[in-house]
Amino acid sequence: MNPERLRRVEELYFRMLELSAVERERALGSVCADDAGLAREVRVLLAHDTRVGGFLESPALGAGFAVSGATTPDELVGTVAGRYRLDARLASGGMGTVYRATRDGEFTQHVAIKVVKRGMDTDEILRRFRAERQTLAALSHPNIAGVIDGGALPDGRPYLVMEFVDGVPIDQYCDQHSLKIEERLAIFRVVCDAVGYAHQRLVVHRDLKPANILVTPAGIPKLLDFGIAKVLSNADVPHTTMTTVQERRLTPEYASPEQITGRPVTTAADVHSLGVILYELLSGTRPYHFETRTTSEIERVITESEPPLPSTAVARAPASPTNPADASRATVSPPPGLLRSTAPDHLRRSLRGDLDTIVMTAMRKDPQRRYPTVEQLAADIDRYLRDLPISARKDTLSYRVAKFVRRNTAATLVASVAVLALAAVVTTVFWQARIAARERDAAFDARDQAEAINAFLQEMLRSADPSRHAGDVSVRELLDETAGRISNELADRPLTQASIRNTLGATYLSLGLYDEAESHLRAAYQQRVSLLGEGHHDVAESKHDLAALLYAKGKYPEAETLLREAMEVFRTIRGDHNADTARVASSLGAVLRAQNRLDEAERFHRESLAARMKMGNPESPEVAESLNNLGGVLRQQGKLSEAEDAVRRSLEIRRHVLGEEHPLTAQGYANLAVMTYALGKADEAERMFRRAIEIEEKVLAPDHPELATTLHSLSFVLVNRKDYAGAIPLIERAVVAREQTLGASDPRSIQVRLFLASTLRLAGRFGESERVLGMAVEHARVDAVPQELRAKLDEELELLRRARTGSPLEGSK
Amino acid sequence: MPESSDGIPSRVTQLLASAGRGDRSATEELFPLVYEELRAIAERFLGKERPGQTLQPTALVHEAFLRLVGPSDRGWENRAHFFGAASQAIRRILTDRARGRARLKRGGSVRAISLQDAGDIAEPARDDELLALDEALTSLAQLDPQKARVVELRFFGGLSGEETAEAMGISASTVARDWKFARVWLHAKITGEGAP
Repeated sequence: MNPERLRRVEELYFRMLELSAVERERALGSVCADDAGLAREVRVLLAHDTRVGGFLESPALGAGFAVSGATTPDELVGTVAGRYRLDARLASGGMGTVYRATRDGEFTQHVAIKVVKRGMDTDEILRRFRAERQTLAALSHPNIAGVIDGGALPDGRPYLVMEFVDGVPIDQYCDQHSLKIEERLAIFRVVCDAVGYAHQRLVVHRDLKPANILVTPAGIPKLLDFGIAKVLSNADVPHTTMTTVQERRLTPEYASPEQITGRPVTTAADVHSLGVILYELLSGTRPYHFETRTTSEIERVITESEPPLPSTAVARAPASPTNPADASRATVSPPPGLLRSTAPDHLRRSLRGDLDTIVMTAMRKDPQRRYPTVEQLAADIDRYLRDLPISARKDTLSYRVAKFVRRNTAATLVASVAVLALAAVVTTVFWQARIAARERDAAFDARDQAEAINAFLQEMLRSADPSRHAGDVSVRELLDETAGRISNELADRPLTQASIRNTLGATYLSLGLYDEAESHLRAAYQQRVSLLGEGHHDVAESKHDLAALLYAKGKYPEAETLLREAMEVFRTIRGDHNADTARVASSLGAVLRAQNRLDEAERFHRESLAARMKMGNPESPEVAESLNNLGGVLRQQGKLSEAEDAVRRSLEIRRHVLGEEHPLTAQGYANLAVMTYALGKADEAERMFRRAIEIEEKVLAPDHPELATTLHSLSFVLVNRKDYAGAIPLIERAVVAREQTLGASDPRSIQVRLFLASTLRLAGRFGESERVLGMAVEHARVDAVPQELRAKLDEELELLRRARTGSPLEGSK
Repeated sequence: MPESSDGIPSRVTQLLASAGRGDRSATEELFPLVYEELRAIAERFLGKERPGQTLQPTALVHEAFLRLVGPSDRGWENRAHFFGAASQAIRRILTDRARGRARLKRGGSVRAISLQDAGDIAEPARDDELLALDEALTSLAQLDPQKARVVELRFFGGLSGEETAEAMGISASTVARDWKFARVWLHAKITGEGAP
């Protein structure tokens, strides 16, 4: 025997298998006419073919090793597990076998029971089994086959009782029912909801494929098999060991590049798999084909090859029925069984454009460039179904116009347009400042980082509940949620993580949530310094943003140091006239002014203004910022009319560029009010303060520092006009807001409290005044409170005492 | 609980990576490490012979993989090589064990079954068959190495047909064909009816 001869034997053996016994003898006789030995060898094998039974079928370490062993019947079928009788074996996977089972009682209930295979009950596998049960128990969704019960067999092996899904895989279902594109999308859309639901609970399925998505006869899809699901969070879910073993290897056709290459897997992997499934549902063919099943081939195809667009894939699929009239008939044919109610040409046209884009966006190689969430994928499908512009599509004018024209044939869409518009408002209010900063210089932005950040932020915005308005808890909740997720999901991308932290920090800052802002800004700063080193653009950016926070918290010297360092960096790498240097100059001016170094401050503001004017658009929000800040300094220097002019110009730009209902526009009104009041125009000042408050109440949280400042200012005007009754409620709100964001011992909180006390005194409400003042004195017992503020408190105590005893001093009575 | 020394896991991971790049010496170096680990785990199970408790190769291999490579999501390439090495190791462990027991029996009187062998009473036939299979498989490997590997992965490694295809980088239909032929061929060879 030699290899050549064995091949010959093998070839004949398989040929003979196709023939009847009689034919075999005849064929062997003629083929092996000159080689009787060959014929004999083939005959021996053919004889053993009927006797081989289950030989070697059970693995060596399993129970059934024996030459004579026939395939052993499943020993569990017919037995009872808890209250269930195991009827039949449904499937057998790596670690477990799934049975169909029945619970008899008043009503018969069918369930699926998954049992750990005998011999597979190692600690690790038992842990995973428990983990799957916990994962499933945490998921309760109509489109996820849930866990009903669990228990252990007499031999100790655990089992899991699950909802029994009587259905067929989604691809087969669609083909069997000849579903149209819209109908396919509708079912797929439901699948997205279920996956999104799991993701919200931080569970990633990791093995989404048609076989794991069964559709019931009623057309309801159900997600199965969270056997290799991964729980992203490790904070509240103790079973992180789930991530360790993949009992079953992936189904490469649906796997994402990061799964194939073993990089960290996030929810984005499921988005990818959904993209592949949608590709298949729409085009009838799979995007990836492997020449061989070698790992390198699979890796190459999944990570490198660009599959054709679904519309193109349809074009290349074997032509549908010869008679086009048959195209609408329900035909079930093997892949590419794409014969549904749509003729190929029409199908091609329907897929081209938005559906191509949706599928390919979900399937992008880089997880960061896919839909950031399943919800967004679903949202785009919704938009497609409603003829609205999809988010993944390039936002060209012609595209939007085309969508608009199509859309307006249907009047029912008004509502969704309104929703989008509202979302756009939220976007504008909160992100404009940041986005403007991001646009500053493409060369300095690592593109993928910016994209990742945008994606993250878009996700947050899109899931924002637009019915609640800006500054509301919903935005904050989203921030908190995002903050919680970055460390998990972007653990392998520290720089992107830092960028997002920085943006989050800046956003918390704009919401007046200083502690949250500080932790993120500091973390971003440290991450960047350690990875990029001093002197890098992004490090300087972090310095600036951290300084902005310190400024808001009143830590001026520390802020100044950071800003001067940032300035140094930007000057070195970018020169004098650019957005970054100008921004730092402006911030530095603000910090210097806060320390009463007015001339220095003026110099930096003018420098910033000049640079920003020179950079092109004299009507930009940045120019408005410089004018506003310069105006403040000029006012303090006593150059009132010059100051008023600057602030008025700033306000005009803001109203024009940012719109009326914007925090910065409100700030402009308030600052102009300060100017006009200083110029003696009290009525105009009051009007403008009230306008500012009106806007801020709409767009800012009730305890926002900006709002507190404006309330304080307006009440000051009212007090001076002796309208104490009007002023007191405003000051009380300011006190609450200050203490909530700054803490009661912050000098600025004490200042407002002091103001409230004296106003109460002036209003003759001595008892209340005493109480408020007493608390202020109490809070002032910390080192950080400057001596002069303590002196003012003492002075107020004295004034109150005199007012009570009727001693004349000042104009009270 | 991982109990191997700290150096080993990373070494195995390195070797797997090298093997993945086609480094043959890495594959050779890998084997003893995997073998030792598998043997340790297998002894825990096979040695104690808890009634009703058998260890399936996939569980064994997964446990070994966990211990040697560590808890990671490393997909595919590494696992394929690991499964290859592990299947070979299991084959070696089982045949060594069978050979050892066979020697024990030959050494003593045929009738005198020692007490410690009591648990093995049902197994002599199995040991012989296993040794015969090992021998037949070695012959097959000389004639058609691919078929022998399919048997190793499927029977000793406990992989399914598809998994074997994935691990070997050949199509599932080829695996199915090789598997069918190899089983019949080995069956004929072992039962001694003048197998080809």
